[in-house]
Amino acid sequence: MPLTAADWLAVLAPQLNEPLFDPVAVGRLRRVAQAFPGDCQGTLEVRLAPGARQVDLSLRLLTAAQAAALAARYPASATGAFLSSWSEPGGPLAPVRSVWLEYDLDREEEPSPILCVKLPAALDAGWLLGTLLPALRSGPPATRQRALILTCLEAISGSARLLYVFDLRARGGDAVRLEIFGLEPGQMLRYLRRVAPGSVSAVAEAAPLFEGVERLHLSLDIGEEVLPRIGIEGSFPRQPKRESRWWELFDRLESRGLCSAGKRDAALAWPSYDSFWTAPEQWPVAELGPGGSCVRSLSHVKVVCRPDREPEAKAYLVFGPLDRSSDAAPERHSAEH
Amino acid sequence: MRSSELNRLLQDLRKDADLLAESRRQLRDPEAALRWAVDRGYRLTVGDVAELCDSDRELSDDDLEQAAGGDAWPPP
Repeated sequence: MPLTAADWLAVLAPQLNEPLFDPVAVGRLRRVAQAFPGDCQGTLEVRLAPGARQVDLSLRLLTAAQAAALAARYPASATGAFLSSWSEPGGPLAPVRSVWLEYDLDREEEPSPILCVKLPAALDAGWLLGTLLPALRSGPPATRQRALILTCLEAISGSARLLYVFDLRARGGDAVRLEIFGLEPGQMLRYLRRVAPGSVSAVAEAAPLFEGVERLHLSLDIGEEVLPRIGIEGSFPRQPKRESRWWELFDRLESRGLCSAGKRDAALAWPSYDSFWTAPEQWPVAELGPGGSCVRSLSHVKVVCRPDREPEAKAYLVFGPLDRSSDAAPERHSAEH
Repeated sequence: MRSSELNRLLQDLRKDADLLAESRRQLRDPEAALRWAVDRGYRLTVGDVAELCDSDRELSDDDLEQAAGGDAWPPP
């Protein structure tokens, strides 16, 4: 049997406990993860509010082999066609660095994935609008949506840049998410005053939570208008063991009532790793023998802001095999392997 | 190709925490690990022992941080 992401979740089983994980959520995670090659990195999206139980799953595709494997799982669909096209060496989607498949696991049946595409540093807006988005969504964006995307791109200033684009149709509607890296909190507010003024007050209220946090991202959803939901996320280069500001960030979330103390402690304790020697019963010996490591790390924290609603806080917990490579378009990986 | 003897040892280690701890203590010295295995009836090869010793590699803080992006942010 080939190694799957579900094998890594089995290794993690002793960690998948309350308060972050309830048994229903773990069962849903395992069912989806069975379809993914075991060399994919995964991320668990946990809600930090007291009593919030939903856990979502994202899996990252880096190589042509991974893309082809998942394309076969979604035949005759936009997802399958996109992944097939991306896996072709030298094709029009070659600039795509990686693709995340995100699953909202709020129900028993497996949902369609949301595709999240990591963009090249030197982004060509013409390629984004004329090639990538039509491939991602089985057609070009509508005129109004296209104009709004362009407006949002043109408003990005300084060293900030568009890092990810999402197709959100799996959630209903027709929205595209833009995720921008490199705006400081003050710059975020200036940016939103230009492109989404109705969201400024809600974001201004949440932005101080990210005081002193590095690697900030801002995400906004664009349909026929810029939608009121805005996401802010941030992280640090070091893990909590070597970075006390993680604690400060979680403490601020807890003080605002956005995170329970138990979930804070569990998220901060997540980073570590397992091997055959620490998890012999769950280790996929038939596939790997005694070798390999299953790494756990804290990726980032996100706060979702909506007008007239309390913000929602989430943490993103990475799991999977140790990967020493950086993101690369699939043809590069194919050539390397 | 992993030998059937190594597979047999791995299956036994999965079921016996004491045996696991005992074997793990030998892994810093491949020759001692080979002697330990032979004394307990596992006819491992030198390659099997090398695989075992290599499998118990400690990961650094940098390794864990790399999984979450590390210093290279955003990645290229």
